Amino acid sequence: MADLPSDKVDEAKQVFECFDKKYEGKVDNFYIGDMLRSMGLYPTQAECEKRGQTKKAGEKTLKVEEFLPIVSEFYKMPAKNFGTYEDFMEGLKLFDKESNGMMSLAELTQVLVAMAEKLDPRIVEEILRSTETKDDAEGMFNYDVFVKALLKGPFPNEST
Amino acid sequence: MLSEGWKCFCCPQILKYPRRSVVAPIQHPPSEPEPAQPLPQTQHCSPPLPPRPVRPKRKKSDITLAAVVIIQTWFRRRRALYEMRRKTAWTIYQNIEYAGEQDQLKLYNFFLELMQAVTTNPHDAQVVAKVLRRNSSLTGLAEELDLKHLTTPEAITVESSYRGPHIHTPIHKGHFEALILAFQRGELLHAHYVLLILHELRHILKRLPNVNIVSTHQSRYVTVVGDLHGSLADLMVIFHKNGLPSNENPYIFNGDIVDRGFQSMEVFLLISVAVIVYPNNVYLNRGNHEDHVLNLRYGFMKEIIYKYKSHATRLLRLFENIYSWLPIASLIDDHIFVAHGGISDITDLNKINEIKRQKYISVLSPNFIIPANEDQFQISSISDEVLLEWRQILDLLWSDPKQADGCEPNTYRGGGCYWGPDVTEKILQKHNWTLLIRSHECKEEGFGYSHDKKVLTIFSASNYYAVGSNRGAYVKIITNQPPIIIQFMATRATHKTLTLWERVSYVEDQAIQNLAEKFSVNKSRLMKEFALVDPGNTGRISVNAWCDIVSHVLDLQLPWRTLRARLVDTDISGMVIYESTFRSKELRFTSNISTNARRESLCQAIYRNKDLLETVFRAIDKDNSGVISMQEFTEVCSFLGKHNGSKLDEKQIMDLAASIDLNKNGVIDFNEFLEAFRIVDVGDRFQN
Repeated sequence: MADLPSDKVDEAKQVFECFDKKYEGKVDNFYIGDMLRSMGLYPTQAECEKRGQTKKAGEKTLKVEEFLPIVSEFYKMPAKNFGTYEDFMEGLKLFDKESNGMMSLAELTQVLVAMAEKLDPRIVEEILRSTETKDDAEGMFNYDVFVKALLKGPFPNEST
Repeated sequence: MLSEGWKCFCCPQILKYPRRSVVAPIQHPPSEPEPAQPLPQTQHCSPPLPPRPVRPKRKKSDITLAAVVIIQTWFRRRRALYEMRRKTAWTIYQNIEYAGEQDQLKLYNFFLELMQAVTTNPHDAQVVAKVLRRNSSLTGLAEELDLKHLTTPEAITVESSYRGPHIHTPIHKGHFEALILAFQRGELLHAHYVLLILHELRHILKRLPNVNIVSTHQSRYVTVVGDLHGSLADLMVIFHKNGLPSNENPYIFNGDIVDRGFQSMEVFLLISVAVIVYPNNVYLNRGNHEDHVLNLRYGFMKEIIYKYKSHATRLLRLFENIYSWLPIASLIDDHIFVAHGGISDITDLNKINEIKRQKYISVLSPNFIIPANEDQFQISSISDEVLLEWRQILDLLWSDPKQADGCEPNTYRGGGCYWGPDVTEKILQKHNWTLLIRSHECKEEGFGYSHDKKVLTIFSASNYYAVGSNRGAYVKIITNQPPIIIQFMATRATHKTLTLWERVSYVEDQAIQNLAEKFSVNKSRLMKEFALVDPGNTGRISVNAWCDIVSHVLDLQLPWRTLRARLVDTDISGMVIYESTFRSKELRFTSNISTNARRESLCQAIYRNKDLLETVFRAIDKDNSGVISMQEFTEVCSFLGKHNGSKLDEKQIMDLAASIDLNKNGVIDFNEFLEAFRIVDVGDRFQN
């Protein structure tokens, strides 16, 4: 990959090796998105599927030589703006029927699990637990606090 | 952070690109899914615009979908990052563990080879002989009597002040339950009773065949437990989930009961009592750690000495003997073979059954192959027959499966083989087996299948590397049904359940600290190499150079590029400020002695070899008194120096010991010596 800087090539290879659990030189296509994300990119599932990601594991595998061009393509794409606080809030406000800063937890979960690029319900549950998001007696929660907790990131003590 | 591509959300000044409107693949068939193209109804931004351009109104459903996809993609990314970091931490631990094992075994192989060259240097032979010398050179009946005499419980009286459980023969279920309660309370069983139990166990083990014949016809199932490594907590979880062993609830313990964990004694005792009470329904397989040579290094010996002090010698001697009587494999219903490590291309049940297993006091360095007191020994003088028999048992306890076909020596561990799927196929067919169950390797989920599901690895010590590093698991074999695997994780009641994010952070932190320690004990060598590629003395080198040097000096194959950000500082141009490698940990003296560069280098070399030194020290210290002669100690140090290329100069060591004031009348207390320097956090610098 002449157009990828050499340190990015190394990084890609290391990420690939990490995912190559059996040391066979191959990674299941199912993990293309995860590998890209581990490198700091933000591909959507659709973008990954266009480049060979399968919907389930166990169907196809790819070698590191096939992975590098994919990485290169993504680096060439202009960086996407993935979500400032305002973006999240704007989107979630639509669920705030009473405009009081609260929304239904069940609805959020439902939307994340059923719409667009569906998430696994366990993942959603994990993230909710990690941000200590709980709903009140009526099933509502404060999404402003939630978004702020999300944005603080998994390792808030680290400098980025 | 893991990748420089990370962009912090909350700080808009880091944004490098003009802000485009939020785009997302919308699942309407005619829409363009490619987000690089701006959608027709959105505004196209160009650099001079302010960060928040005004957007024309979009349909509500579009906004919703866009927002939802952002959140989802964001979540996915988090998850991927976590997976990545968890895998990395895992890799660190495994590599360090295997490197440690390899080192230990290289040492013993080195000793063996050295014995060949003995004619050129009789002095070396003496050191080696001391280390490998057995306590006695008696055989047969004489040895049996000698053992009984040394380890009889009658030799130890139980003081009236002893408040722990009392065990008497015949040992029954009540004793088993009393012990469980006592151990959970943290009590220690009196040495007198330990010897009693061990002798009862030995009595039973001597009558057992090399391969346990296990049948599920009566009980309908049997539970196989993997490595426990002294983890009482995990054993308790298993008993809680799966029930105590009994005639209706049979168990097979697949080795590695001791070492590493701090309650190896308690775990071994409980399992022993289970065998004694239910001899036809509790089975033991020997693991590679059921070997006094490994107990030297991996903690069981230390534990016994610490807990039982003056009685340790007796206990150690009896354990040494009991290990040799442990069966080396089990066969369930004639078609499921269970062994601790695995198999190899020569595995043959008939040959295994013919072995006199009690000859192999240590499987790793069996003394009847390496003679006790001979100063001259030729490894080439061992016959093929003897070597092949040794391999049968060594391979059962030390091998690991590999992905590719074939069978080759396991250089990672130093004993046994790597065997491939073709070997599994061949051996299973030869014996009409359908499944091979083994342990020996830590698995993140507590279990793992290989070779087309014909090999099952089961590992029962959860949190093996650090809290949260892995689950444990055990397997239930039910007559004529596929195996059922149950996972668990032992957590202390006082800890709240950690979330995934916290767990990964914690494991990773430990792993990173481990690495920082390694840096500090290799400081002199690392700085030397750094200086070589920094002729201008700028204090900076390229990332590539740093990764290469670190990987080479530490001899650890890890994803250094990925780890770099967590380990060392870089300047704005991306060059590594190599002094920051030592920013968190340093090796320091506890007493005030003068240091110079040479001495620092020596201390680091000693600290690096601390474990090896300790091993050899314990081997030399036959009466377990904690002291050896200064002469012996310096001999060992310089001998080890030859072994791995660090210069441990005898005179320098004596100087050092003198200045730490440890040389008291020509003997050295090893623990005091080690205490003289240890690794501390850099922040503690000013506290002394």
